[in-house]
Amino acid sequence: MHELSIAEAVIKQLENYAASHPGCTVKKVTLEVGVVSGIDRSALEFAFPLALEVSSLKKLELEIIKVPVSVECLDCHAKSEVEKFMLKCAACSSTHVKICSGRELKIKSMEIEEA
Amino acid sequence: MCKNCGCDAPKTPHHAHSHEHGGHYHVHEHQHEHAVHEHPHVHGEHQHEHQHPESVHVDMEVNILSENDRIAAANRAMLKSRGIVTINLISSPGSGKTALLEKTLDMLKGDIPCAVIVGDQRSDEDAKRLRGRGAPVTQIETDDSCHLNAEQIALALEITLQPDTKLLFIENVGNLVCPAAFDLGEDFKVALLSSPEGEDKPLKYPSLFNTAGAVVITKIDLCPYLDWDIEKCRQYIRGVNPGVLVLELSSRTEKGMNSWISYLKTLL
Repeated sequence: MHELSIAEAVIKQLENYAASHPGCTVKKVTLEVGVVSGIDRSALEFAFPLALEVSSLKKLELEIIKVPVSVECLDCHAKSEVEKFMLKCAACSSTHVKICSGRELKIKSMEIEEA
Repeated sequence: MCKNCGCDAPKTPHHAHSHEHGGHYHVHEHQHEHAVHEHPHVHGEHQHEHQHPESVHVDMEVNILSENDRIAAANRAMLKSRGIVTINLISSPGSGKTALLEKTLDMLKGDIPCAVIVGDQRSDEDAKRLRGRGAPVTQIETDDSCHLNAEQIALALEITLQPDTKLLFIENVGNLVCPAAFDLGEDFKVALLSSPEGEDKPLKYPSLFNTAGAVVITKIDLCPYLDWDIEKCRQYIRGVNPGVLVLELSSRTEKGMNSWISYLKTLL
């Protein structure tokens, strides 16, 4: 539901970058979005061009990398990916685990052209 | 030597010039080989072939909500410096956040100085219910936004906190998804889940229930009228958040309220 806010926050950061690097054009942005970040990929893809239209940036490509939920077991120290979101170790079934990934909501990189 | 500027560095991209191609006009620098003059051009008409600038990869690795996070960190530092414990209450609309706060303020009145910031899309209905219970209350109307953000809280803190405030409740906009993503500067989130919502809510909305410091199951007075398995609900909550504190209460009958109040007092 807040994908438009997220799209606007991404674009704001790209605008700030462009403002501090005169002459550069952002061609592509790559985001990392965790499975439990609360962000729906298709809604973000829908919102992004709308937010872009009212920004100072030109059309640019959006790439979204989905990050699965992974945990590290605090008992057996195994690292495993988690299906759905039941937090337990795939190796020993302990629920004494630490989340390593899956909540990401970040700008990983950009492709720019310099004048 | 370059005949344009006299420099000694061939292949250095330094000659800005402008030209038209494909209907658009632009100015740029490009690299050319001075010594062997690899690219053909006719100086009289100034037409030549050249390479467009390559895309450059820039690593960012920044949180999308870093601006919100920055303001939230400032809120947190200020609240901490004043010794105020802050709880961000998040749940679906209608799960009993305001009812729990009404009863909580009544029970803490004269004992612990509280303050409340409450967010709703429209109206000050919640603030009206919470006022007159011994705590300052600020209503934020978020208009079309589905969550509170750190900037709104920063502004509200200025008019809400009193010199003696010890416990601050932020009642977020009723929504199980979006508010979980926005740090407000709270010490922790408390998720509410009312019995009529069904015991499987934590599985369906793990992003909130996983990040909550405590989960409160509300409206337990309705359990006898529902197909409700409270043990299954506890299992689901702990499935997404092993070890989290789970409290069960009814604001209406006050069953379980003493445990909630005792828990709040342990935080101070």
